[in-house]
Amino acid sequence: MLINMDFISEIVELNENKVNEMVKERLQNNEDPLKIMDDVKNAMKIIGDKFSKKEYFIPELIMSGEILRQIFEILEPVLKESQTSEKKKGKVLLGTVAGDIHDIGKDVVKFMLDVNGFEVLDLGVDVPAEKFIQSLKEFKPKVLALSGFLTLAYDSMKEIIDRITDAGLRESVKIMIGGGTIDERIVEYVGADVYGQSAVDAVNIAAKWMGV
Amino acid sequence: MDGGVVNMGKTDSEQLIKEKTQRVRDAIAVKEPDRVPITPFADIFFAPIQGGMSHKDALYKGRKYGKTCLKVYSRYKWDLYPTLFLPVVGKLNDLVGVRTMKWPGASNPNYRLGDHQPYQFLETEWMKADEYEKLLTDVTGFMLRNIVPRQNSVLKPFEKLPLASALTILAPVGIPMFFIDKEVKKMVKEFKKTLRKMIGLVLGMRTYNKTMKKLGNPVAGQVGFGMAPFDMVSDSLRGMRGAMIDMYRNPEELKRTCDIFVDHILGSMDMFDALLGKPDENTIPLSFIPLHRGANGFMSNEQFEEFYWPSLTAVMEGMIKNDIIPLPFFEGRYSDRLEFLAEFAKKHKGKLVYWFHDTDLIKVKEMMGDYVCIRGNVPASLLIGGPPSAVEEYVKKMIDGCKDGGGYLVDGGVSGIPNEARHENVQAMTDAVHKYGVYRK
Repeated sequence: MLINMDFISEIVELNENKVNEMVKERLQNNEDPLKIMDDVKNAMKIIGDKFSKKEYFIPELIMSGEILRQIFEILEPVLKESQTSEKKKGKVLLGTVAGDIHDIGKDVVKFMLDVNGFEVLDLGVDVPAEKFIQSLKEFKPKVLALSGFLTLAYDSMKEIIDRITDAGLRESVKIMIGGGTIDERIVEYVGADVYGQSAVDAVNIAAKWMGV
Repeated sequence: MDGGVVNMGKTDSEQLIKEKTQRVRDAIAVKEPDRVPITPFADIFFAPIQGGMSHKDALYKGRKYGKTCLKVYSRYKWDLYPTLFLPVVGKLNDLVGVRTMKWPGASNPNYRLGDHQPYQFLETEWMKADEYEKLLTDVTGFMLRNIVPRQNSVLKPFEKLPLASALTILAPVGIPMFFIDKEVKKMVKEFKKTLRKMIGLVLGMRTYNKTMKKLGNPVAGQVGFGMAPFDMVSDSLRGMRGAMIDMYRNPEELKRTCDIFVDHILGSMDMFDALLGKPDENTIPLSFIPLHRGANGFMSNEQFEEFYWPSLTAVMEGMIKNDIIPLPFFEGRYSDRLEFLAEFAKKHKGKLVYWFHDTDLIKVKEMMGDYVCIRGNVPASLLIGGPPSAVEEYVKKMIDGCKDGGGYLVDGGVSGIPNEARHENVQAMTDAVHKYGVYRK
């Protein structure tokens, strides 16, 4: 059996008890835990697609994260060093800008980029320019995604992008911005490349920029 | 008078207040006034930034905050001026040891933000899912003895508040026993010390309200403070993550809690009377209801209909019954929910105000403009980034699209006037209303 469709659909339907049972059962049947993980990845991709199509919303993303956590708990003791052979689509650096500690929008963007095969480095919230610059140098992403909920994020984003320019790194990265009070008018003000209204936009923009 | 604010005769100012409030009342009743009213809410730090005060001082220096707001707001010809929302909230927070937000100047360094940062809330799972039954058995008791001490470190002794058995004819024993407890005595002593310092809070707000009145500037009558019950659970008890997991694991408990909160919200509508003064005949009794998790994207329409909307409409209906005008603030986008909003508005023509952040106002006007007064929504990006000509153009477009038949109030989109808004853009918004908003001379 290559792909366990029943298992995948139980995850997609968010039947957490059934999923837990099935994971345990599959382990008892000596199935390779890495194969179980592949199914989980496929399920998460379907959940991401449903979110894109507005069939699923934040409660479903949260529940799927919760189910994922439980699966990991069961698999962790038997899962060897993850030897993922999957080729990622490209690197995205992500963070909520300095001064702002909101994370909901950023986390949804992270989830969607993740399940769509991007390699995401999430710097968290209240991230200052220095930290973005350091990570641009070390992680070398093609895309930088700046998130902010409060209106203070306008000036914070502007400062971060100015500092990136001063550090000579602006040409090396494409910058997208998004969040509660951000709109397309702010792109020019802060010196970004584009505004994304939703996590789905973030995925499409990143894919376009990386040519994937 | 402060900062060049010109005083006027009593009759003139009374006349002006009557004119302005009538204009707003007509708009709310979905009748055409003489001009589209401009009724901005202002985010807490807009006036302080304009007046050169730090965010920290705004939260700690009540009298100065009141004076600064007075000076900054009276520069603009508005019809309803912002209510001062809890200046010196910093001192109040220190007093009870708040753990639900971070703010500039906090005495506890773990909750302190920079002097020039606005406060921000911390969402935590304060109540575990398995505590619903306890909460539902005795909501206020559970909140007082369990949640309040967790959320406010100084109020830890509330854990010892007497139970019902000590509140019967045994109250003469039960209540003093609470107050003679060593930790409770210490807490009360702390309170007294800090409360004395808080006089500036009350004075700042009262001076602001009185002076505004003398100037003929009606202050938005903030009666009570509403919330969507779902947001109460999500913001204050379970965190958004917890509340959304409950939609799957504990849906019945979640809905029962929302239903129970309705009466509690309606029962505390007079919460701010001591600070803001009791409403009088010139008060427009608006109750601001900032909404959080009901926006597009946070949940599906089916979930909205099951978990969010029923208890919120019960709150709004209760307000309307008590002659309070609900002012839900639809932050984010609500384009997916407009059918719900329209249906409710049809049942309560002219009794409420819908304030939108990022929903197409002209579409809203077409759908429900005959029934409900809509408010908004000059974008923060324009009020901060400008230029003034773009602000003017936006306001003109909204007025052209929304003014017919009355029922339109001009305000900013998010938080009214955002903290970082520039004066010239706010002036342009104000001027545009006076220029394009006239129905009749």
